[in-house]
Amino acid sequence: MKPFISTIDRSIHSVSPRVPTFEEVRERRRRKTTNLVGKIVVFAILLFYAVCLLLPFYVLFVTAITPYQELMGSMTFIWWPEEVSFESFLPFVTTDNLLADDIGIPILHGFFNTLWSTLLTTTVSLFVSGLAAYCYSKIRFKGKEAIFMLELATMMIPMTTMTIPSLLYYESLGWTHSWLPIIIPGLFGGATTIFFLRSYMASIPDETIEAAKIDRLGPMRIFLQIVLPQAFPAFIAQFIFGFVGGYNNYMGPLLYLSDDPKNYTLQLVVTELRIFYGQQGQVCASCLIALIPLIIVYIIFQRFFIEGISVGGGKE
Amino acid sequence: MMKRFASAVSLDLPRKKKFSYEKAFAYTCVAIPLIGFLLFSLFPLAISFISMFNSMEYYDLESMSWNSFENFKVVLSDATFYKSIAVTLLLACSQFISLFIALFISFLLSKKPKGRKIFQIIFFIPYICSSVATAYMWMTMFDPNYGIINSFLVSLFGEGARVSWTSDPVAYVAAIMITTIWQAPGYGIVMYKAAFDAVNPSLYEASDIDGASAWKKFWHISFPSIAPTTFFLLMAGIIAGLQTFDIAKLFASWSSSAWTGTAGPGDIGLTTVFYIYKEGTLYFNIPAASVASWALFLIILALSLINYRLRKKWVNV
Repeated sequence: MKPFISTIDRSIHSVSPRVPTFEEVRERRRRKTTNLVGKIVVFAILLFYAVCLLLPFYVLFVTAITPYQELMGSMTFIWWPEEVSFESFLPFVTTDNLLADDIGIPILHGFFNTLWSTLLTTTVSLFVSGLAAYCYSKIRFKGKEAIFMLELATMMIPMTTMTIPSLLYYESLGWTHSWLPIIIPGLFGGATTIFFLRSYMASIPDETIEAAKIDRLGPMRIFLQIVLPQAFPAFIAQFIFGFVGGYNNYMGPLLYLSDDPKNYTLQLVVTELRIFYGQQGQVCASCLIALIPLIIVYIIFQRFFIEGISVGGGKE
Repeated sequence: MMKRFASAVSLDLPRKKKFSYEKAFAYTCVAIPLIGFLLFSLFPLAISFISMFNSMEYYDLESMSWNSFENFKVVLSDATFYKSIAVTLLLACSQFISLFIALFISFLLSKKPKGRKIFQIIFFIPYICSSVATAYMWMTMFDPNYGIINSFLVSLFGEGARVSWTSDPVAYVAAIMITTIWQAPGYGIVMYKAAFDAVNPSLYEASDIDGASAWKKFWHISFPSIAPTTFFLLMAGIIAGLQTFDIAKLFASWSSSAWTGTAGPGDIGLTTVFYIYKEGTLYFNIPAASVASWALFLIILALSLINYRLRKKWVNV
């Protein structure tokens, strides 16, 4: 049997793919090495970009722990201080500061203000937007198309350009120097969120909702028990964007809250306390403490951030 | 057209009840956001519109009186206003650079290098940083004495290369642009990543068989697929760039210019929104702020409408 097999083997060799020529082998090897070189170059560029993006955080940290005298005497960047000092953090994390009567521990006070105002507006706004999105996608009513077009049209209006002239309106309502202009307009939901949630809800099968109707569930219960759980990823994504926007909001608090330390948000603590604690190290320290919570939240929930953008933004 | 037809059909369907609880619920839910828009967008818009044609004291609506287009004359003959527009346009250019970086980086990411996931996570971090922290962070980077940027420049090119970022107008604008470019591409990278992932891989395989070069593959396969994303990002970037305020305002507190109230050396960092802010809050001149705001408003509205029209066309194709 053995010789027989070997003849077949030989015959395959003679018929099947011809033996590559020397040039072809060299070409293949060249391609392999250029592929490898290409991969290394790609990786190197990305690594370089990542270092460029992260370098400012290192600078922030090192400047915050460098003593004032060492920093002032230096004409070059200090990669690591001779003596590490956390003194710059003190005015922000203790009550040992000029505004302690009003705000106690500044960073905590600012964090608390930012948190309650942002969570309140984001949650209510998301709930209201979610309800509207549910009605647009799953309930039939007269004039729905027209009203939806109207809602979409509001998205076109660049209201951010009108932030400062709006002062006049809020002043005549008597709302300036208070939280009202920050909180109240944010409670009514937003066109972009409605649009995003509506397109996500389109994937919920109508049968599920019809079945719930047969079970005599009201629209509010259908929303809470069926739509909300099924569209949860979309809600999370929108919540995160609302939260980040509120957390980082600078212009609104600057216009309405900056005259009373009691109302300082986290961003205002960083900007306004610079008047009293403006040494570079102190500024960097306050920035660092203000940045850390959001970066931790981002790293934990980064999947939702990235998916939220690519789904929500892509459909807009 | 199809949609209109569909809704016409649904209206003809027989219905049991004329007005149900469900419909009342729907109208209420749909009305709330629109009421919010009416109260907090249209009303302020209307009041600001009226204020353009009147003079007034402080923020007192009662003191309004017709002043025959005086506000328009003042703002439109104000050299500072035009300068602010020029500066804003210049700063908006950094959006083009950001877009290019986003495209380049996400193209590299689409080559599936090692550590792709971690790179993606890192590249988005600047985007979630507040403008306050970003501005102060970069003011530290750009410090003329102990800043890391000057340190690099001096060690590479000698003491003569030290740039006075705070007092040289060109350097000042460059510093703001670099800060924006550090922060902005994160969003584009994520959007492009989704667009690159959506490209049909069989197209690449086909072109491999045809022996297309890498550049040709990019130009003829990837680029057309990511064009709508590019267009969207470009418009969104320009619109955001035209409204630059936070970074410009925060940079204004740099060095001694903080106490004179100017926006950097020779007011070079005074963007249009910053101009509006100054008119509205420091000089209590809401009518002038309104005129400038409406000018910007109309420009951005036009851009949004063009964006919307073209996008509809592109997506349907």
